[in-house]
Amino acid sequence: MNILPWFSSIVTFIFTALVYNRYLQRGGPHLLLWAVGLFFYGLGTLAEVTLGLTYSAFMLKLWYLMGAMLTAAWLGTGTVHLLIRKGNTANLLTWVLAGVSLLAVFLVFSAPVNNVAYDISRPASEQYKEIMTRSGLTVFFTILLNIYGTLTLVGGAIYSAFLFWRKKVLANRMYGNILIAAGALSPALGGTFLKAGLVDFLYLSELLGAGMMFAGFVLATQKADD
Amino acid sequence: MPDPKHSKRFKPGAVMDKVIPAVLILLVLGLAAVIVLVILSLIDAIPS
Repeated sequence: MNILPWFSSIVTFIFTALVYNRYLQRGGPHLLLWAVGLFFYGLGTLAEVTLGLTYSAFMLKLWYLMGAMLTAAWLGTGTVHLLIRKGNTANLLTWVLAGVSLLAVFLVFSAPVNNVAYDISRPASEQYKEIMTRSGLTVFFTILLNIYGTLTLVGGAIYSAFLFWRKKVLANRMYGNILIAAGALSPALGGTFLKAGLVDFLYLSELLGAGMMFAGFVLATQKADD
Repeated sequence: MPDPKHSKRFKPGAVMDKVIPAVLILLVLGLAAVIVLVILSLIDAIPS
């Protein structure tokens, strides 16, 4: 059992509560969508924690659904709401994402699994393909949601940081967005460490990712108001 | 009392003036790398 996913879950759920509290105080769909995305992130790491203790097909599917399909897309859609204020594009994307997410829930939870093969001493990301049979549609939506989520979340943070840099205003928001972009990239790059056999770095990258996004959000919101 | 509009502006030092653009470029490269890795990994082009 690795202790790092425990810390990732704690950090992420505290972060979720902070963002949701800010939404209750100020409103704004971007904050609500970020809170939803962070809650999914927390559910994913929590599923990872339980899979390190005991095997459950439900937890493996929850881990895949949250970690590989929904988290980045919901966080990214929050960023879309923040950056695209005019027109109905952001609302339309949110409704499309809600529909695709429901389809993803159905696809993942109806996927057949090979329960015998799971080894709790290995991380889920190293062995899920041997356990869970993913249909072509599941793989397609995983790629689509991942690319959409990563591009909007990381790309949006980089773009925001660039704008603050170019105008030389609100340094705290510029540094905050840099941290958010780096934090969002961290778990994705962690998969590369896994392929190199460095399992601890995968868990560390998830914790660093949550921590950097948390720090970036606090930094970006501490002085200036929306 | 400082002017609020003026106080939001910042003037980067000589080092930060070079570091920030480099960091932003690195993040863009990282984003591109992750997109490629995600596709290759999920279609099993990279064995896991």
